[in-house]
Amino acid sequence: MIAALKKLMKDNYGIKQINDDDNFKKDYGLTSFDFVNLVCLIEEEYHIEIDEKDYRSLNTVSELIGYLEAKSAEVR
Amino acid sequence: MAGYPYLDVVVYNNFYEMLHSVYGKTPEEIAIRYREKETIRDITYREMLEETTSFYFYLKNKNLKNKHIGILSENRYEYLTIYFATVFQNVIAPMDKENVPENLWKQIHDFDISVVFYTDKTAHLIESFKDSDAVEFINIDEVYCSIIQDKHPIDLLWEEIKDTDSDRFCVLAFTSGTTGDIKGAMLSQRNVTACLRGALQNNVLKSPSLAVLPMNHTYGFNPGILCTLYNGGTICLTMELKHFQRDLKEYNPYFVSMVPMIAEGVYKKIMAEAKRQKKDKLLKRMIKLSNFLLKFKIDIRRMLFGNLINKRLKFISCGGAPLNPYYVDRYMELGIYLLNGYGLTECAPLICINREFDMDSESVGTIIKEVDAKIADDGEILIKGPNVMLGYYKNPEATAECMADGYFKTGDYGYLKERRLYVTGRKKNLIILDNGKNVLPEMIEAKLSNLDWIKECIVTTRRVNDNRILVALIYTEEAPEDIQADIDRINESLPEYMRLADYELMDKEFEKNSTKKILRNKYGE
Repeated sequence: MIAALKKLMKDNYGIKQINDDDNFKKDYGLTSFDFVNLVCLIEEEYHIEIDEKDYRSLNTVSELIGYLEAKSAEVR
Repeated sequence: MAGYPYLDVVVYNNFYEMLHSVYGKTPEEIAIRYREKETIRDITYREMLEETTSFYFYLKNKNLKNKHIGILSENRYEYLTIYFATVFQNVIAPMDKENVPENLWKQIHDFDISVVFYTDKTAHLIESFKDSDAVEFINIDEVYCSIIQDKHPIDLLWEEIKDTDSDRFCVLAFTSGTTGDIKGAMLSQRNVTACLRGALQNNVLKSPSLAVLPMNHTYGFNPGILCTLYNGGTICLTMELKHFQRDLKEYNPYFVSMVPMIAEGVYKKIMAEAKRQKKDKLLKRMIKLSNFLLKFKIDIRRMLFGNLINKRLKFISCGGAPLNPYYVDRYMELGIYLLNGYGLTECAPLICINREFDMDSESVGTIIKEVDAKIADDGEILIKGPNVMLGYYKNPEATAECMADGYFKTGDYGYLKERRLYVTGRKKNLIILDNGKNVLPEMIEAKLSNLDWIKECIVTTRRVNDNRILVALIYTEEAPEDIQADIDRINESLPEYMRLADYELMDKEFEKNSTKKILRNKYGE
């Protein structure tokens, strides 16, 4: 999942160096609109729905990965 | 074509006149379109008014006449029926679901809100105080369906509201200034309908439109949604921002209201997608070819670029924050008019917007028809017109302070070229130096912002040995080796008294208010 997410970020936002603690806003300069587009790409890629109310808690790469892993486990 | 005539638009001074007329002409026309799970749902003007009627009598039976009714909701079609049901007998107070519970509770208390309509999605925001005795909290998801089952003829609604007072305070619009304190602008139906009419007199609006901005903001709601209903058209609702790109293609709108962040984001996405598909060079060549042919009045932009967003999209209104003129030109290359506009909540909110045949990427647009704008001696923009609010709720001092000889003081500086307005800075941010010289920090910040390595910056003053010096506070993620060289270069382009004496690097982003504006008064002296 991490590798796939990194590829997604590299292909769509040109972000080459991705670390677990990276903050989407501070480290990658993503606006809230960019973040929502990222959510769309992830939803298409992983077939997982990310609730709008959860956006606030997804500020870093590790938070997003943790969320996706938890959601995947629910689906299984 | 500077100064070409305003368009003819029917005059409605209140929502009764508007709804009664539009319903009378086209009752079966689709008023609202939105997606409910996998299905697109259409609501006609008849259906919208039937539900409005039911909700109107529901509120009437609760004996809430003239009470303040908060609505704390995500974007949904019920927002409109509740809005219309409320404005005729109560005051509606749209609340921001991005706000934190403490602030929401303070708003409820400070602005005398008696009832709050919330939803399943916003329930968590009121959890800590929803058992209060002083306020009634009602979940729209729990009550709406049963309320609209109680049907009344629409004619009964007309009978109730036909003598509506166009100048009655009916919308409490919250405005958060850069000092962080919230004020409540009191708006009437005349204020709002004047704004809608003004937008339509500047540009032709065809159906359908797409609404993506939060409905609680006057900009997202008034010119963004109500304009379309004023015109008898169809408004498509994007319920969540993540569906916006899909909705742009699916609903095929002619018009969308955006803020600069979205307009810029959409454009960047188009370019990023072209690059990803290795078609970026081809796209650039096509743009060059199209621009060349335009010189001979051959317009093939729709044919070449229609698929990038949708084939029908012609107008994007852009407001809420300053727009980089670069994007006006970029969208124009694709055949889309990115109409920069300007307004304030206190003006319902529209003051001016660019016009199709009189575009100027540096301007915030042509003043709307019924508004009189002038520039004070100190350069402040003053506005007079039927769109100017009644005053600030429970704040007569602030109300008196913002008026001068019948004109509303916008707090912004600018100049006019005929009826085209140019904004140069905010009065609140003006720095008056010890030598009496005035400095508009935005002018220096604009130059600093052109440096790639600067993410955010503000210019303020610091006291050094009893002297005030100009300093730039800068937030960056990657400072270059020689910052001073960049500062020196910028200083060379400024008058002596406006030059930066120093700079300071911040270790985190600046604190902002709920509309993402930097809280300047928290920095500097």
